[in-house]
Amino acid sequence: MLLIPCPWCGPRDETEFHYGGQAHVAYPADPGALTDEEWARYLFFRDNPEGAFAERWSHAAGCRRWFNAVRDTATNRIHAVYRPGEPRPVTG
Amino acid sequence: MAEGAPETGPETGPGTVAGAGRAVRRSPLGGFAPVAGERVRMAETPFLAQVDVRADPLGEAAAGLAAALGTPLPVRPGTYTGPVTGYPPCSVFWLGPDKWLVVGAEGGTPQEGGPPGGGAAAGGSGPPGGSGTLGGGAAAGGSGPSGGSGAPGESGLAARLRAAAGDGHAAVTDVSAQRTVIRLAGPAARDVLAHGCPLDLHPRVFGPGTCARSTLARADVLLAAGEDEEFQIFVRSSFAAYLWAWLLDAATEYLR
Repeated sequence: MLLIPCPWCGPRDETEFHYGGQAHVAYPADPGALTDEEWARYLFFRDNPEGAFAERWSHAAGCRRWFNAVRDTATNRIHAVYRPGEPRPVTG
Repeated sequence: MAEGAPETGPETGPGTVAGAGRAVRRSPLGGFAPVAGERVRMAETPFLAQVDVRADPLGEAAAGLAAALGTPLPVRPGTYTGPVTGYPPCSVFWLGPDKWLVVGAEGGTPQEGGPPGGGAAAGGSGPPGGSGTLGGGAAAGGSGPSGGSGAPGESGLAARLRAAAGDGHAAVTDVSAQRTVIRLAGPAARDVLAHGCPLDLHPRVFGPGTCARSTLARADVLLAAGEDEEFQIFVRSSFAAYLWAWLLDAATEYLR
């Protein structure tokens, strides 16, 4: 069970949250210009690192805000949380 | 038989209010008797006016709302203010950085015959002070659905808040029917909640004046801590009976 620190509400139980996948995946500037392969790559392909991973979470049963978290996929330790629009913090 | 339907009197009972004509308002937990134990007390406070407010906390609308309410909208996460007296007495709960729930008694509560949901069904054997304490929160109610300038079926509170927001960028929505309130009190109330709530309920963290949306027995609730170990549980109307039954079950060991 993870204890996830919501940027607004503070540490809360994992059961209150909803996972949103990789963060900072930008919508293509001109989707019409993309080939099918590039479009599929945008839609379906995500990083799968072992280590620090920036991902989106929603505090679905709490304040219902989306935010980003840098989580270590190997240890589940959450290194940082930050609000949407803020740059990814440098984590050690 | 041919002329008109037989006159069926409106059903009355705890938590029901006969309105104009034959309309009967029934609270989600109207059929459940309050619990008044030594260590746990539980009662419904039905028909509160509840208004969802969304606004920029630094904006013009928020300033107008604060002036009308007589208190600033709470900006510290997980806190609430109130009940504020002066304006129609109401409490303001922080739901999100730009979202609040304003709760007033204005929606109307049964005025005659003691605490809401109590009345005759409570049976006179409970310890004194039990349901009386629980019922106290709604004492200011009883005005009934007041005729405001808002949308049909809307509480007067919503209409007034919308007027207070003025031309500022805000959304004011009446959500009175969405949730009902269970008041849980007594020295074992925290323990009862801890049976099914992932929040840190230690008094140091969740003391009087704090509120949080979370889950209780997997149902979405807004939980608010008051003075003297009294908690308000805002639960969706359709989940209320389930949650009441769950609370009764969780409280069994403290009711012996």
